[in-house]
Amino acid sequence: MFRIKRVSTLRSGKLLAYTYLLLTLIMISMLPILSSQPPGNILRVALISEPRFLDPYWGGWNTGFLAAQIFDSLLQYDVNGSITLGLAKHFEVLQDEKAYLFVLRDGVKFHDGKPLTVDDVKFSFEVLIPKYDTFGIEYFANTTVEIVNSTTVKIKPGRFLPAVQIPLMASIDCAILPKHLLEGKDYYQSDFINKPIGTGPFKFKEWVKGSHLILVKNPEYWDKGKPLLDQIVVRFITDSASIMAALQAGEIDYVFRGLPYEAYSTLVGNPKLEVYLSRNPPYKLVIQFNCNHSILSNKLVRQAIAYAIDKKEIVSKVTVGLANVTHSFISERYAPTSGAKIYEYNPAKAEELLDKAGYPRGSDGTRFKLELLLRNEPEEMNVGYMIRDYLSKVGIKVETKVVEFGTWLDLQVKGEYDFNVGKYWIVPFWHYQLFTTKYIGMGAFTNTMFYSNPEVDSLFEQWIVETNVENQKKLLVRIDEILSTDLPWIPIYDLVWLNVKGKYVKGPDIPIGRYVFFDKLYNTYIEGYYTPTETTPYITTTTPTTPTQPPFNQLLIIVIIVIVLMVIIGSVVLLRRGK
Amino acid sequence: MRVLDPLGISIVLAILLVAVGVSAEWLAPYDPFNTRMFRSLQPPNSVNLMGTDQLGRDIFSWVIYGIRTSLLVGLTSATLSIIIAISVGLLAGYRGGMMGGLLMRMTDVFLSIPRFMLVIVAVVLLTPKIVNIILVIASFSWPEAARVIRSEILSIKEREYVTAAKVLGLRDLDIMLSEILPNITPTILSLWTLVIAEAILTEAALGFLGFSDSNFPSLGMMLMMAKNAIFVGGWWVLLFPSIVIIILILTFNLLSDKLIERFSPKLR
Amino acid sequence: MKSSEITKTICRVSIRILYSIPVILSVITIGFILLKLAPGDPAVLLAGEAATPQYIENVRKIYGLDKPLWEQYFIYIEKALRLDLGYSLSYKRPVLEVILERFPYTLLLAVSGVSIGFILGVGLGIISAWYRKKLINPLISNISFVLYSTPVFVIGQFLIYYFAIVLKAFPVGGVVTIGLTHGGFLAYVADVLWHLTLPSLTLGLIFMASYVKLTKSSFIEVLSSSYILASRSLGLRNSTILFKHAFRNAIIPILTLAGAQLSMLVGGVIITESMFSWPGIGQLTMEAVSTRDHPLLLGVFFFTSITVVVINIVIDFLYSVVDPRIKERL
Repeated sequence: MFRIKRVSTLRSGKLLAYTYLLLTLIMISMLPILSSQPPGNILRVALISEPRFLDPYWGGWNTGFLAAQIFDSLLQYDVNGSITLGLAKHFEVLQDEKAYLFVLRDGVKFHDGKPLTVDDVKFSFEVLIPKYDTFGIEYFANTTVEIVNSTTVKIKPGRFLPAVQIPLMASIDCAILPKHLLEGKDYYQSDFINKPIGTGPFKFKEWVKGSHLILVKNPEYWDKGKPLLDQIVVRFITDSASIMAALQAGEIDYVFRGLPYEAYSTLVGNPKLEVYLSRNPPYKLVIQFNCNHSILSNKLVRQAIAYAIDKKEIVSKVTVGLANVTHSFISERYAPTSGAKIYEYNPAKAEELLDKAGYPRGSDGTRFKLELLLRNEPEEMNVGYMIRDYLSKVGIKVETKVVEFGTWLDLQVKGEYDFNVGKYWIVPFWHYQLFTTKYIGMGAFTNTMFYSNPEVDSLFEQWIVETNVENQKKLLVRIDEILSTDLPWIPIYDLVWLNVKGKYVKGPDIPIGRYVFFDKLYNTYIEGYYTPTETTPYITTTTPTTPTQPPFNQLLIIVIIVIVLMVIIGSVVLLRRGK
Repeated sequence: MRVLDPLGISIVLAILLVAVGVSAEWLAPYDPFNTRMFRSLQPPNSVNLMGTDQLGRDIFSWVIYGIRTSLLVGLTSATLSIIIAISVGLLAGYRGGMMGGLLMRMTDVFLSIPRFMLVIVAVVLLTPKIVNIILVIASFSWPEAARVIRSEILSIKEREYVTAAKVLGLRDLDIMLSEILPNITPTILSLWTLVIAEAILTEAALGFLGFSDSNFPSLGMMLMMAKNAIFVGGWWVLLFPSIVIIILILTFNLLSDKLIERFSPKLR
Repeated sequence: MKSSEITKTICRVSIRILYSIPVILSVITIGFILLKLAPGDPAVLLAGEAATPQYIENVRKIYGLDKPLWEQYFIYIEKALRLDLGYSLSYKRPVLEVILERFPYTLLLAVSGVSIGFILGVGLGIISAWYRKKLINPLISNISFVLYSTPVFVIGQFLIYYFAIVLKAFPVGGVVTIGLTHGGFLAYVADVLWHLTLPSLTLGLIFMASYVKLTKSSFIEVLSSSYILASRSLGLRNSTILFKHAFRNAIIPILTLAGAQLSMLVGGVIITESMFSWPGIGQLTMEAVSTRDHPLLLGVFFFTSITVVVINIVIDFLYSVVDPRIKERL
């Protein structure tokens, strides 16, 4: 009998549910239609991790990518990765004075309208770079800048190391920052790193933390006609599946990092997208040894391990065959890599070497045990699992230890590890910190392999003061040969970066990777919104659209209150009825 | 109690799962860590009943060992947790006073911070070794159980048989063992199975984030692989471990629920 | 409310707050101990991906990481008591600022998740009690039980896969659709709700089981009481009052449940947040752990526990509104 008449409470309960659903549906129907075309001459980039601030001197890839758009240095890297002029219109190396001479361009302005002067260069090189830049502290310590005239400076670092310093001066590690905004202030306490002002092709516009960041074109950029884009909108999407979905839905125009290898085949099949397998920036995935370890200090053991693993199979399983097997320690970009010794997959040879080294198989088939330190990243863990397998076949029992980044660094620094798997940026001046004796025990990002070879040391010391590029290459090749015999690392493969962009994104900048990911995107444009011509200056056919939503948080609070009120009112209504 | 009613089913399932875990070496056809035997991402077939993952590992073997890992962590941490909970709960409930208040405050601490966040922070900071994981899970789950035990005891304390025992001059310890303990046994069993379920869930979640012990096959870790396998249509990497995890957690949740229902419904 | 009631309320609230102080302090202490037990040099992690030894030393000095442990602890506690949560080492901004940027998102997700759990759970529970003898009853119980036993990352994966990737009906992540000019406030709210649906559904589906059970049992209890016979003869209007009673009795445990669930979520749900790119406190906590950013991690703990205290006070308040007979119980 109850079922004949509808009970008001039941109705109220259902009513509440229906109301919520209905409201949601109404609101959804009011959503503007999402187009899968870019909304203008705007590049929408997805970053898988959000930077915490925008400091050009900080080493992070995401921070650096954004800072490169906002700041300039005296030199820069061109589209082919060669060092060319930036803010300076003339550059000379003064060998005898052990200094660098720069003549600044005229008419360069900061984003706030103030002109760039030699004072800013002096301030940046004397005050900021030696104190705040991750490489500046080491390689530009005690720099003095002599102002020759209103456009010319002589930069004299404490130690004259052209092989390192020139590449650094072409990257944002030596970005020129405005003296008038930073003089006398504590760099980190000021708001500068959250609202940066530079001389670069793009100006900082807004940053909604957790959501997106917007850069707009600098119309007064010193390189006339550039940049070609009106805006760069950076979206922070922390999940790779979400990035995939956004790419395929046309919500994102460019991604250069964060997509898993497995995504390759799906992306290649999408006619609206173009996929690049970029080898830049050069990174290698390697096995790293603690050369102080009782067993691993024996070179024969390390070489045996090199013979025991099948690099090709690792590449085919872990990177879906996309990466390249490598045997050398350096990158072709800096010097030829053919001199490295190659260890083909040969388990029999490995067993032979292990016997020779004095580690025969025990009664249970085991020779000895090792602990493999791994970072908490799928790629490295996968490689680690495969290594465990290969080594068990030759009688080495491996236990894996997966830790997060901080712990991973710490254990290495303390030497509390046997061997690990790591990814390293391959650039000569970092090798200087990694493979020389004087950097042993100097902390993270230095020689945590406890590797020492006097010949390598002396070669590096020669390299660092060498200005002739050909001589530099010869030295690096020789270093590579020695390292590949000593094997403080076993290089496994060159990393490949999945760069995906919409077909309508044009220009030679993409895929990026000339110097880490710090490439300026000033030659990029969106097809249909910009027509590149030789003579006519930059043209747009649409006005840039900027999201006009009010500050996020205030509205969010209102939304929350609305929902909570609905729930509370609903319950109160139910209770009050019938009183 | 018939075998077919929910309590019976859950007990049988639990025993089955433990049996699988114990006899993993015999049940699993291949070494779960072996990456060299099979090709990458094979769908389920006659050789690999549940298919293979990106590294060519047999998922069926991984799942069998995964059940063992989950149960290892679950049973050990839960037992440890309950033992501590019983001791503290008994003391706090029977003796009362400061102990009781202190216990309440302690559990409040864990209500203030999401327990899982604390667990992750602790596991990450102490490095994910199986022993650490078990200890961390146990340390963060006993206060809640102790609180429940304590309130149980508070209500039992006032019953006639306890007063009678006191009048008869029995020692406190004897009273606790002979009168109170038997009466809170259903609660204890129910709590124990509940903590097992929670611990299994936590271990799987840790595995999903990559923070479980990599020397033990974890179902959660296979789901981490599944996240990327989905891109190339590897549905089996997602489906099978998911179903098994759900069954594991479900069994112990069900057991916990039905135990309480059956043996002391009035206390709900 | 009369003035004596108001003073009573204020008294209750103050006592509550006082009791919470040692709890909050313990939370911070646990966090501090864990951080210090952990291997890992905060200075190294703050220095960035490729730093030189000198730089790392510099960083260590700048942030006072070379002071003895006790000193660091007491400095922190002293500041926290003044509600100065300090400076985030990794963000280089005040901790409070960093937390407040993320907190509204977490709060929004928490409230929606619990609300969906509540609405679905209570609704299904009433249906369950109503059609007690029909098939729908065990079906609802079983399904909600299975959902309750499913880990959040499994539900989330399935929801994403089916609704976002296959059906393309909902976005895979984020809070708003970027690059879109919203035609007014309402459209903006709609966009947020659209993005909120899957993550809060993920949470809500797990939470609803408890509500189903609670609602069902209290409604069944009432339905099978002798009131039913009486009201049959008296006319159906009494059924309204019947359900009022049932609801009244049920509302207390339901409120408690909602409060407890909300408290669980305001500290952040790392898995849901990372799956849906929802910028909440959970992800912030993980970052603080990876960078060993003590002020930030401790600040998050501090902030979360205070929020939970506030939520509990609000729930208590709602109790007394709903049923003035309820005596205050600490």
